[in-house]
Amino acid sequence: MADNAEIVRDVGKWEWSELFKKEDWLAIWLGFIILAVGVAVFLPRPPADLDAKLARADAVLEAEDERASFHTIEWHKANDAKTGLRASKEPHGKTLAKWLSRPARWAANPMQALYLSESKAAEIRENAAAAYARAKEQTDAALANAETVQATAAAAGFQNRELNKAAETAIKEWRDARKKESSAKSKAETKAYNKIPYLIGIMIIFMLFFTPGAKLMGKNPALFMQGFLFVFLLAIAAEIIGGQATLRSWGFGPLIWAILGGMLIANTVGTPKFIQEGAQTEYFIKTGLVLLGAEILFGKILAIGQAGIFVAWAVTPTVLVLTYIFGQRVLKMESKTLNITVSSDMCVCGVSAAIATAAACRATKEELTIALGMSMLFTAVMMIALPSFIVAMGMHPVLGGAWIGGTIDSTGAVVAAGAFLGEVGMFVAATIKMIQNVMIGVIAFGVAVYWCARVDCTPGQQVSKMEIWYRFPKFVLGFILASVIFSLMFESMGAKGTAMLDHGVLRGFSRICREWFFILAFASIGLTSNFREMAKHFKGGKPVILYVCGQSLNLVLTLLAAYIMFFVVFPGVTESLMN
Amino acid sequence: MQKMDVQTGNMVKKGGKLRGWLGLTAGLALIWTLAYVILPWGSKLPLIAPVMQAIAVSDIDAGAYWYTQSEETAIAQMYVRHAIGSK
Repeated sequence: MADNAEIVRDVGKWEWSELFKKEDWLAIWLGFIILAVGVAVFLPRPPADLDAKLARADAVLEAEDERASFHTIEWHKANDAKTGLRASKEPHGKTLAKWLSRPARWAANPMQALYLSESKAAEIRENAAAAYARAKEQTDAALANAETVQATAAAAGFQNRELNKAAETAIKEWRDARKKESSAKSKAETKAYNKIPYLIGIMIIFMLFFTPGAKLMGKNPALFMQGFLFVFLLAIAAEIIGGQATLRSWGFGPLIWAILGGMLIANTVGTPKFIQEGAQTEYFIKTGLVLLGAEILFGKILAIGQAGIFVAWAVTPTVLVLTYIFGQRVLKMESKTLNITVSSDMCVCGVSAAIATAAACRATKEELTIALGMSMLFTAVMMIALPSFIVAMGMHPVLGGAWIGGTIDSTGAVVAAGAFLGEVGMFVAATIKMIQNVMIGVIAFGVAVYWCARVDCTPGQQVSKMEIWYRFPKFVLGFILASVIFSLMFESMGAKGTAMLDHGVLRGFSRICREWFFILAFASIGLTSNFREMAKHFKGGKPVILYVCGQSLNLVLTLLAAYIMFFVVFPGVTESLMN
Repeated sequence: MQKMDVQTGNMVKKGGKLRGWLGLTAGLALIWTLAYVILPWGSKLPLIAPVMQAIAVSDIDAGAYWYTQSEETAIAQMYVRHAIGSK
């Protein structure tokens, strides 16, 4: 992303006009406009009787916790009710989701990503009806059995260990049956859709959203809009490819296809010149990063207690620093920006870490592409190899889950690998990964400051505070500010924060916009990247060696830390999780 | 229409047009082969099949790159908070 005409380099002076002429600031304003709209739409319209329903669910959860040493049927029902309270499920949330929705998933026919006729939907419903009826029957039978077994355990005052165990097993069978029923239900209720008008609508909205900023940055608005149209179409194509069932199961989502698709066009038939004006990588990526900042809720790091904080927040920066030093001193990487981008995506959280770090240190487009490509390939390998190894070794699910959560790059792959260990393993893996995700705010800020103060200056040069400010990538301020504001709001709202912010403003609106902006950015990267430039960075296979060595260290340290935390220092946490 | 070669920054010459289109077709064919031949075959390998089955059964989006994109993370967080907070 650096050494390119489209990059705005801060010079050693401040001008107020920067506030509306530079993409860093424009990204902040645009990001905050979206967040303000999200807040204005969702916060005044909570689900009906939200407070009362939350209080009721919490009362049942607490009473059931007191009553039995395991999670009873009533506990699960109250928990389901609480989890189901989401602002995004309200009519306004559903409308927004419909307008912002991306192409659908498909298996054999790519057209189904955009359009499903009523006759085809009816055929799917008809084929799934019998399976759904069977699944529903099994759920009802499993629930009836669980109620009987639990009643027997209750009759013994939940004091009989064997009866408790039998009840727990029966409840688990009911939960599994319910899960299968839910999956069968979604197929049996398939509805016809036509996403094309919505996609055209959202393209026009985003085009109008970004064009004024592009004009302020000195771009030709007409050319920007023409280019934007092409970038958007490429993004749609990438979404369609990434939505294919097999590719999705392997973790090869739309982002990688946006880059590869763009590169394929750019390096074969060539990118038409007018597209360059619309392929504003930095503009889209920084706006997306400001929105990502709002999703970094610091309260979430406490989700699994001190044990989780240590595994995610002590090991990760240690591995990051050691891998970076290894890259500079041992491998003698030619590019420090490539080194830190690969190190960060390998040990923090893959794609999102790579994007944030690359933007913070101004890595080139090719460097970001290399980091992402390696991350996705190694993630696919680790998603299969790591859980297989854990199960083969008979490792404890909490230990295995923490190991997976701390080492596999992307959240989706962590959940997939964790699911192979069972429910507890998956829950631990996903929670550790979430805590690690939160760290990206600190990492991006640290990298931005370090680059301004140490890397982007001649050896021995003392950089003044004002000079650091001039050089500092200002969008990081918006990124951090969004995180701080939303973290404070989330904490101050208590239990309502999850329903209104997490599952309202963020997951129901800003996240969807952010996903769109990132895919537009990645399509832009692909369209303006070249294979030859990328090949230069692969000289001697150094990025791969860096990734493999860093990941090996990560695997060893995370396993060690997880063992010490969950089995030596806080064994009670492990016991609670298993209960 | 003028097109730019990103490798050189120069405009693409007419002579290279056919080669360009052939390259694009080959690239698309490669993606198709990956999606319909290589990865489905790989999914059936004994070591890989059980993991792929777990992904399919739970309908997990393995491509999600951030925690808010994963529904399972929200459920996991709720479970873990309850497990260590109240038990």
